[in-house]
Amino acid sequence: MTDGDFERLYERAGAALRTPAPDEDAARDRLVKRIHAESLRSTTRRGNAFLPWWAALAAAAIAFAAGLGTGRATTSSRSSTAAQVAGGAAADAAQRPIEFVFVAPAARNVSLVGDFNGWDASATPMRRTDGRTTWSVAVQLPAGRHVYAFVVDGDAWVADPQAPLAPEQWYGQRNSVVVVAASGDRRS
Amino acid sequence: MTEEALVARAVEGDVDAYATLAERYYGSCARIARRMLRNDADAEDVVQDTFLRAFRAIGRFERGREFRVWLFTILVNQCRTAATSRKRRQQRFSDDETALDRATDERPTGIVDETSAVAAAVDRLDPLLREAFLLKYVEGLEYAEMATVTGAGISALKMRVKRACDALRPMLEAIYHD
Amino acid sequence: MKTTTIVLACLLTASAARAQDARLRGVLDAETLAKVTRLTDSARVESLPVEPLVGVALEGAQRHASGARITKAVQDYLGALRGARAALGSDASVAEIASGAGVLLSGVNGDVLRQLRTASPNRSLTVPLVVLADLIARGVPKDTAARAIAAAARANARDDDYSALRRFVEQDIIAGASPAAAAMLRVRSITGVPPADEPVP
Repeated sequence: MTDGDFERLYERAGAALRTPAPDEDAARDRLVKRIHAESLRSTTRRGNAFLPWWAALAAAAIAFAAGLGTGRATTSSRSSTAAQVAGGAAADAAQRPIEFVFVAPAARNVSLVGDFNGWDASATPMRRTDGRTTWSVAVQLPAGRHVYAFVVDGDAWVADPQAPLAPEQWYGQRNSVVVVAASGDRRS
Repeated sequence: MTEEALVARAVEGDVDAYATLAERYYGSCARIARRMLRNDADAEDVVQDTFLRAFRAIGRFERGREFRVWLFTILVNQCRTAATSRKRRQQRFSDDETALDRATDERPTGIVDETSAVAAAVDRLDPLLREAFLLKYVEGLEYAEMATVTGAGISALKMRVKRACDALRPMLEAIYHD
Repeated sequence: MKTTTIVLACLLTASAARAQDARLRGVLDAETLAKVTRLTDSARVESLPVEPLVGVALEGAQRHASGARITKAVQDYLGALRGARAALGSDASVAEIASGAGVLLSGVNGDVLRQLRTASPNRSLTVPLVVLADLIARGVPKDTAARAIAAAARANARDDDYSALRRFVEQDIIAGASPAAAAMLRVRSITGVPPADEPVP
């Protein structure tokens, strides 16, 4: 037999193993029922009648945000004093637009807080996009390490599950970290 | 609805979208688990556990990633954990796996159909070789995807697939050429 | 000319300090403001990054933390920044020092930072240090996480490699793997070196 013949032999074996088991439909139905039961269990625990609790906390953000420059969202119309003050000996002066995205269909309002806006929940409100389930905002950030979180409905501070965790828990909760690369300098 | 749209809705909290994905991938996961655990009841438990874990974590699923690869990563880890736990339990008794590990090129007796015969042959493989063969030839993953799922390097995976095929060849020739 | 330059530098420094005080003045009580300002002035004198300290104080104010807690946070952070700069070298960037401080606050020894600097003298350590801290925060034992990042550094890993490592380890932990095993397994995709317990193919 040639190599091609052997390859066809293995593929034939693979195809044979793709035959469904006799009880597969019933097992599939059992799984779907368990998924719905899990969904109801999670919903009941958080008191949200329409969506699982994790949907309100799910978030996607850009963790290592070098080179994205999407610029598709408008920046906040209110800039904080902290953002306006020079950073002293801190970061590279060049700033890059960084988009933050948060999925929270049940939220009434969401804002971005971080070391770039004095952690002021009124400084950078996010706006709904994508069929009203997603919140987003783009901010100009200088190169360097930035710590941030989302504030949901004015009082729930939430770290970004998609981003690296900040190790510091000064006030009992972890924040998230975004690293913005210096313009044209990836050093890699 | 495209898979991308289904995944996007599942990430946003649509449980029906997630259930549709689960129905779509149940068969693949069940196939892998049955061969890795060689026990249908254990396999169903592991597959259910996999989908529930994925359900709880779907909010963290990154857009642009391939859902199937992510799901298989969870499944393979669950299979490995379940196999390790079962092996510890079984080591107090005579170990059937030892007998099975003594692979020969004898054709299995008492087998009546092609699927069962091939399954019996694949079951004799070392677990890592079996896993690699299943991902490549049953589920059709690319080596880069297999690397993501298993955590192994591409070179190591190619070697495992080769060794699996070398071990299976005489058994498959016996099954298909009688 | 030299005298004029020195005077001008002092005026600018005082001006910057007053501006930062203005931010804190709006949100901290007088006693806390005085203590935090002393700490930020110490940082400035030692040429340590001041903005991260101001950020910690502002965060505390917005989270309605007590003055004592805010002061302690700034004090602890200053100590960590000091340690990170000592370990990483005086030419470390602000981002490296802040990331290194986070690693020290995770309980990792300063020697780990020194080793990373030795392994990567010409690459920014910001991302590796952020990933190291993240792994520890997710339950990877400190020693294991440090070994994994050090191995990646020796293999000349790029920022994207560290980023991928972090995501894979997180997913593996979700999937049920132990954090330690997940970290050692995934770093192999960077180093190409198999762990001791993998069967030789």
